[in-house]
Order: sequence, then C-alpha cells, then structure tokens
Amino acid sequence: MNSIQRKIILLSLFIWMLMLGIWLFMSYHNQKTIEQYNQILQRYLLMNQVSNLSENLIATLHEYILEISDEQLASYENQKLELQTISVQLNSLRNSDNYMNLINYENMIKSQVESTELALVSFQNDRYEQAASHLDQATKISDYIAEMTLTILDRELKTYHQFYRSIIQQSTNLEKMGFWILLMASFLLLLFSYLFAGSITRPILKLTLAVKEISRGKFDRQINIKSNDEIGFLANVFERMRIDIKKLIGEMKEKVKIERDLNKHKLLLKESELKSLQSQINPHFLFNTLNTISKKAYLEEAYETSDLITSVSNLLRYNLRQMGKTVTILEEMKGVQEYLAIQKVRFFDRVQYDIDIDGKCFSFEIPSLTIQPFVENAFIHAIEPSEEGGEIHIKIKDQPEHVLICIEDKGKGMSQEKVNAILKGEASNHYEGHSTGIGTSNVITRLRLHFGIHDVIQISSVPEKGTKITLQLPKRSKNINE
Amino acid sequence: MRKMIIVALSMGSIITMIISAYYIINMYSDHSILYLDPDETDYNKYRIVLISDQLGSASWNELVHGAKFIAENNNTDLNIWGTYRTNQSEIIKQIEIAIASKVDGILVQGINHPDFIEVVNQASIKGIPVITIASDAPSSLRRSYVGVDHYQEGVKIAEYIQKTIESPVNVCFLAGEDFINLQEMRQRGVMDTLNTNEEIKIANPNVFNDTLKSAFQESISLLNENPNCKHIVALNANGASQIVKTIKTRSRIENYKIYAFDDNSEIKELLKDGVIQATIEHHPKEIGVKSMVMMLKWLEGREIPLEKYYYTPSKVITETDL
Repeated sequence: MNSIQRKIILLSLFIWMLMLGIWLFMSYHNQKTIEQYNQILQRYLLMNQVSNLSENLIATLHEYILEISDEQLASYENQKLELQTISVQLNSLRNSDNYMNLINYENMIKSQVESTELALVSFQNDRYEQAASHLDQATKISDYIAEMTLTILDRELKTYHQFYRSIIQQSTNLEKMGFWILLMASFLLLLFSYLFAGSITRPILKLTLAVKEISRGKFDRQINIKSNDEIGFLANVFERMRIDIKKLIGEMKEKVKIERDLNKHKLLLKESELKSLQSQINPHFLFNTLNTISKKAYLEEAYETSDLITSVSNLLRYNLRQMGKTVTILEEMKGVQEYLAIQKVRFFDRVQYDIDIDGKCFSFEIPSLTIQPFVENAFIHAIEPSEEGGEIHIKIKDQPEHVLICIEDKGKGMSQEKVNAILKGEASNHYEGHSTGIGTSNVITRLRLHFGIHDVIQISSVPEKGTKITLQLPKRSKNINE
Repeated sequence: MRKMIIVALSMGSIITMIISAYYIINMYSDHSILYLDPDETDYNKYRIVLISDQLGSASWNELVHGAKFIAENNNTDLNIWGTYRTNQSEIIKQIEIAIASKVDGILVQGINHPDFIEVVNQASIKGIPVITIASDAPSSLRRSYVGVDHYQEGVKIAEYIQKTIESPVNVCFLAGEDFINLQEMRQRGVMDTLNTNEEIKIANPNVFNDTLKSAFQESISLLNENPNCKHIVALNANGASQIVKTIKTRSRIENYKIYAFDDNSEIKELLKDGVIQATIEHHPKEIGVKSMVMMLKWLEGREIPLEKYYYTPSKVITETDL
C-alpha cells in the first residue's frame, strides 16, 4: 500500500535509467572516437619511431667505431633488433594505397641494417676504407628512410583524408546529438515528473477542497477520489468520517433538543416545587396541628378521623419532600396508599382498588411522585365524574429487563387523540385538582429523562371501558440525566 | 492549463526525439568512414619503379598509362617516381632509394652522365635490372633501351629539310643543357644526312663543344652569332619554344624556319600556327608498354639477355598532319 513511495521510486528509477542510457550511449561513442584517434596516432608514432631508430643505429655504430666499447656494441645490437622488430610491426599499417611504399620502407630498413652490418664486419676485419664506405651508404639509406617516412605520412594523410574528415564530422555530430538527446531527456523527464507529481498531488488537492468544505460545515458533498495510493485510502477514510460526523451531528442535534426539553421540564419541576412551597404554610406547624387534631380525635374516640388526619399528614409530608430525588417503589407506594386511604374515606364505597406488588421490585428506584399522579388522574377522570364510582388496579411486576407498573381504571376512557396528546406532553395544563400540582406530562417527561429512553409509557384507552397506563421502566438505565 | 503543459511537453519530447533519432541514424549510416584495418591485399609478383623527370607532361602521362596497363595485367606493382623538372641529382637519388628498397626493376629516363651510369651500374650489381626509356645511357650496365632512335629522328628531320628547301640555306642548331646525349644523337642524325647536300651549310656544327647554358641564353647567343641563319633546328623541346619566343622579341617570326623533335602540346600549337615547320611524332604509350613487357620478360627469365635497343616508331609531322 506504499504506493506513493513506489511511484516516487519508479520515477527516480526511470530518470536513472534514462540518464544511464544516455551516458552509456555517449561514452560508447566517445570511446569509439578516441580509439580511432589512438589508432591514427599509433600509426604516426610507429613510423616516427622507425625513422628515429634508423638514425640512432647509425649514430651508435659511429660511436662504436670511434670508441670501440663492448657497451656500444651491445647497444648497437639492441637497436638493430628493435629496428627489425618494428619493421615487422609496420605490416599492421598496410592498406591498398601504401603497401608498396611500406614494402619499400621495410626493404630500406633491411638495406640499412645490411649496410651497417657490412660496415661493422669490415671495421672488425680492419678494412677501414670499406667500413667507411658502407657506413656512408647506411647513412644515406637512413636519410632515405627519414624521407620515406615523410612520404608515407603524407600519403597517409591523403589516404585517410576522408576518414579524418569523417571523424571530425562525427565528433561534431556527436556533440549535436548529445545536445539533442539531453534536450529530449529533459523534456521526457519534465513530462513524466509532471504526470507523476500530478497523480500524487491532484488527489491531495481534491481532498484539500473536500476538507475545506467540511471545515465550513458542509457535510453533504461526497468525496470521490479514484486513486490507488495512500491518498485514495485517506479519501475513503475521510468519506467515512464525513458520513459519521454527519450522523453524529444529527444525533447531537437531537440530544440538544432533548436537553432543551429537559431544561424546560426542570423549569416545570421548579414551578411545581414553587407551587408546593406556596402551599407550604409552615409545614411543621401544619404537621403539629394535624397531629394534635389526630390525637384529639383519637382521645375523642373518633378513630377514623384520627387515621384520616394521620394519612393526610403523611401524604403531605411525602408530597413536600424534595422533588427530583429518587425514591424506592416501596416509598412511592406508601405515599400512594396514604392517598388512596384518604380517597377511600372521601368516596367510600364508590371506589374499589387493589394493589399487587411483586416484592422483588420494592427497592427499584424511580423518580418521586411518578406513580401517584397517574393514580390521582384515575380518580379525577374515572371515579369522580361517575356516580357509581369505579375500580382502580395497581400492579407492579418484575421482568428480566424491566419493571412494569400498570395503573388501570374502569372509567369512561379517553379518545386516541387525547392519548396521543398526553404521550406528546401537550396536555400539561390539565393538572389542576392534583394534590401535588404535578401533571402526567410532567411525569412522563421526567421518566423519559431519568431512564434515557423514550418508550416508558403505554396508554391503552377504550372509551366507556377504561384506561390502562403501563410504565415500562428499564432496570439498566441509560441515564442521560446527570 | 494542465492539458496545455502536457501537450507542450509531449510535443517537445517528440520533436527532440525525432531530431536525436535523425542524428543517431546519421551517425550509423555514415558509410564514408573507413576503418584503419590492415589491408590484406596479396603482394603482387613484382615491384617496378618508373622514374621520370617530366612528371605531369602529356607525353609522359601517356607513357605511364601504357606501362600501368601492362603492370595491372601482369600482377605487377608499378610505382611512378620522379621530378617535375629535369634534375639529375634527384633522379640519381631516387634510383638509390629504389635500390635500397630492393625493387624488382627500374625503368628510368637515361642520362648520359658518369654519376647516372655509376648508380645504374650499382643497381645492376645488386641484381636490379634497369631499362632506360625515352633517352639512353648506352655506356651503363642498363639491360635495354626502349624509345625512339634519336639518330633516326635527326635523319628524318634532315630529310624533311632537304625535301622542302628551294635555295641554298644555312642551318643552325639550338641545344639546351638537358639530355645532351639525346640532343647530340639528333644533331648527328641531322648532320650526317645534310652533309651530303651541297646546298645546305651547317652554321654551328660544334654546338656541344662549349658548356651549354639554359635554352633562353643559348637562343640569344645563337641569334646574335648567326644572323644569317634562318633555318633553326631546336634539339630539345625547351629550345623549340624558347627560340620562338626569342625571335618574336627581335624580328618577324615568318622569316625563320624552325624544326623541332618533340610533340608536346606547345610545339603542336606552334606547328599548327605555322611557326614551326616540322617535328617528330612519338608514341610514348608504346614506349611505356614495351618497356614494361621487356622488364617482365627479363624478370621471368623468358628473354636473357634482352636486346640492347628497342626502337619505337617515329615520323615527321607538319602542319598538314594535324
């Protein structure tokens, strides 16, 4: 997946190969030209050497004749051998133009060597006259050799004139070719670099634009980059991120809405607290008075009255406690029972109720004053308006995931619109007459917020048959409230 | 923008590629390049050197042409050496070089001079055959002479003079410093023929007794010393053209009758203009051919010894022959 690296390496490799190729090509040709020059030079040097050697041979022989030292003789022999070897090498210079001259040349060398040999032999046999004449002859031939060297060189220049010209031509050609090839390489490299760089940077540019768009808060534009390198991968990831962010922001907005609702209902709560505070005319005085009345009634043997007053007192105490705190179902249900006791006194036989609580649920915690408003509601809407009264059933059941609280009445029921209105929390202005001043919508909202789920309540109501309210409270709350 | 850059770069690449390709192809298709490989030509059988002192003259070129023709048809290498102007010491030097080079044969224009004779003899001692051509050195050890019989040339010109003169005349010779032997032979041929004629008097029979100077000086002294001599025999080509020039500077050329022995283009031109009365036509090509043939005969041992003289034909030509 290291494809940017691969791309860069590929480009570098391409450049390297191109440069290497050009270098090899140019060096090869340069080498060839140099070889040709060397060859030419070699020829000239060889001929020059022959001429020099032939002169030296005579000089050495002269010196020997003057000095008669073995050293000179050895040096003479050496030079003779060298001259003979080199005359054989001359064969390599042969071409159709100069071969005759070369044969002449070789023969002249032979003649010279013969003459010098004769001179030497004559000298050693004390025939000085003859030696001198042979030496003169040899000197003459040596001069001719020098001359012939020039002739051959001249011939050489003429024969290879075209060749030399073409070498010069070729070297200028090579120069021009080098220039053009370099130019070509430059263009190719620019082109490839541009393409390569483009293939890397274009996706980055696109990505940058997309990122800018996102940073401006526009999450709707799709990022579509077709590239098989890291940028493509980045773009894909970014695209996924964009979708996620979009989703998250949606969720956040919803959350904010919920929070706003929460705040609104906190306000409602405060309002109801305020209302209860308004009605709180020194609760201690009220409780003490109620207790005194209760005792007084008890002493006057009005036991029922005494109990009633105690119930009122307890209910008041329960209702006046701090809202917003959680209570166990047991505590809540005690409050409900006090309330029911009071209502039983009020409605007497017109009301029948039964409470069925699964003992496992006693310690389950719920927000305070959540069951009672529904019970009150049942009284207000099902029992009070009806002459023959009604029934209320309260059931609390333990389920693996939930605790189910059912409040059922056999009243006249409600229309579906009203049910929907309650569920949406729009029926909040209907809590007049409630002992706590808390309406059902308040309760529903608080439950929802407390447990962090929306579906906490089901209302099934059949007109003229009754209403059943089921609170389904999860045991493990998501707790979006603090 | 991007597309434009790519198009421009592509165009650049393609154009430079085409030009580079052009140069590369140019380079490889350059067939004019010779490689300096040793030539594997076989040696020819013989190496023969032809030495002349008249390189570049038309008649000599013809001679060389003839000799080369034979050489090429007989696997023989023929080297043409020589000078552009008559130079005896240079010719001797070249014979020495030929000897040192151990050539198989030497064809050389003979000079009747002791130095020349000595070097020819030296060659013969070393076993190199020498054939003189066009002019001879009879006292040397040359194998043969191929060329015109100069004595006969003189005879032919003399006969022409005899034939054309109407009244008794004075005839004088103009000689130059070159190839004295050749000129002497011509003079002898003329004299031997004209001596039998009563009407003709030779004005300067002893022209070779003095040391000869250049043709220019000789022509001036000739005209000064022999004012009555209107028939002039120019014994060499130089003399012929020089005498015409000298006469033109001092009097009317029509008063003179000039005879020559050579047939170079200048003399032919003068012949055509009627300035020169007659000359001898040579066949240099035949000299070249014959000398080569004889040399090869000697080298192959087919004819030993060679004839001492081989004369090529010559004939008198006049204005009407051209």
